[in-house]
Amino acid sequence: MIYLSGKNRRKVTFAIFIVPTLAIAALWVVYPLCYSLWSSFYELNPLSSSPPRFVGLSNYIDMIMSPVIRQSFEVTVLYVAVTVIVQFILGFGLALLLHPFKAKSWITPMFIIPMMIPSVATGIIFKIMFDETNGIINYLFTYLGFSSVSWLGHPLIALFSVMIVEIWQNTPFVLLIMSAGLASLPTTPYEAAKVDGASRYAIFRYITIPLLKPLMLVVLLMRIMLNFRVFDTIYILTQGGPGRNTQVLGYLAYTTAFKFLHMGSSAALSYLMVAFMSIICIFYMRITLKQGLI
Amino acid sequence: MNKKMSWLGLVPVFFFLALFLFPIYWAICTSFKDRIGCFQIPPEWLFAPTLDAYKGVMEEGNWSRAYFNTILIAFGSVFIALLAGLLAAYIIAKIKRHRLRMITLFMVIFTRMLPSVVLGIPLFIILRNCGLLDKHVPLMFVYSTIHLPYVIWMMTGFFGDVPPEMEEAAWIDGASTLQTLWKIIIPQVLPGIVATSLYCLIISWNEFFFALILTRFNAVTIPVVMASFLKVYTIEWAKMCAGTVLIIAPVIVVSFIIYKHLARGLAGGGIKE
Repeated sequence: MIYLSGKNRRKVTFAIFIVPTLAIAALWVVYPLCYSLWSSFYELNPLSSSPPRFVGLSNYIDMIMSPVIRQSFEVTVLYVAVTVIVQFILGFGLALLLHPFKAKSWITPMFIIPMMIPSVATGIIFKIMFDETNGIINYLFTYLGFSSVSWLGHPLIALFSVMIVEIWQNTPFVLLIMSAGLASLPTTPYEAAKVDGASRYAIFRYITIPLLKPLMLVVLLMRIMLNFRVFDTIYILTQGGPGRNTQVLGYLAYTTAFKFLHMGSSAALSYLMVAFMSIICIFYMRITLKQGLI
Repeated sequence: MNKKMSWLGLVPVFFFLALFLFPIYWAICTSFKDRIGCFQIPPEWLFAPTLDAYKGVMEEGNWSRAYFNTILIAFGSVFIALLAGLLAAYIIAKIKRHRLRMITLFMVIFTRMLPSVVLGIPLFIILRNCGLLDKHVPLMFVYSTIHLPYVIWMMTGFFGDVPPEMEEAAWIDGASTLQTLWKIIIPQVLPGIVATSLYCLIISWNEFFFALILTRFNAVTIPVVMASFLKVYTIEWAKMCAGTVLIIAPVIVVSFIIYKHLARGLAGGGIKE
């Protein structure tokens, strides 16, 4: 009798323990998400006196047909593709170079600073460095004999500059994780390979890479998802310009909602982003589970 | 193979390290220059340092309040996330079913990858209708939703590492679940809690988007204030850099403290222990 009531009491306690988290999630995540979905079917301007107007799928249709959104999508995809590839190659490369050395225990921590500082700070620092007339980067360029560049003003170069900032900020992320991954590799395959007299290239290609493949995929997917969300640096550095050449989806959604006050359209756009994100998320889940990484 | 040759591998490493640290170094240097010297071309490599920029930026109207707000909201949100997250993580760690872990992982990843704007717009409208814009507590709860998945994820792992014998001993002695958690388990995972909390503090500190749209003057945070400085004081580079240094200094210190835990946390489960 006592045993049963104890077990039931424990079950109740268990249930109560989950309640705070569920309550916070329901109120601050689920409810806003539903509200966002609902508002995507309306023309919504919270600062006007007229009530929201139901427009059905109109926001979504306009979105698919809009050249502005298409351009924004292209900019975002290009941004993500280039930055993720460079971040990965650079980060992984540095991790590999550092791996054989004991000194990596104090060298690697120094790399993480760009990753941890607020992106607003990064934006400000680079805005000052990229300044066309007085910036340090153009000064070094002219010192070395090149001509100075309009880093944030030239329509084609601006996107490149913003990518540089992203690469600067988050390559340490790749470096840190791949470094930890390399450190956790088992030694037995390597010893066996040495006994068999395998070349360094063969060891790398047939032992290191296959062992690291799941982690590599995880890191790639994470960077894709995280770089896709870029907002802060665009806000500080270019505000989507010049023209619309650096207007990534996240920034476009922000201006649609808070500058042009089309909150319904913005909600539709943000759900497009969520849809895209969920696909990548599912890939991420499948890989993590398949490799038994949780 | 060749011991001497292998040191060559460190050359590109130090080259890139210099590249990665140069902007920080440059910002620090600029912050100690005076109003004219900070954007002189050619730049002053040797100069008499001055604290004018720091004094200037700290005297700005919103600065001290924003600094205080940022600290307050950071600690508040982490506190909320710990309260709710520790309880939830304990339960998830106890239940051995794999399904639940999958769901937790999915929640963690999903919430982390969610574009802020999809939550930001409805939160703005809802909070505005409730008259809760520009207040500290709502922002604390918003931030706690960012921390919660991470806290639950990390603490589930830490709780799972605790040997069950002590728990069972406590239960046999008649302790309630809450008492067991509070008196036995938590002291054992305290380092994990500290590391997770410090990481979440950094996340709060750095957060920009929600602070931008949900605050104005009262609960405004440092990143937002710095962004507005950029618009107003475009050529006061020394001041901007001084402000930047004041923002990034605490973050750098805390990052070094929690460095060992970072890789494990960031990969979100991607690294086999």
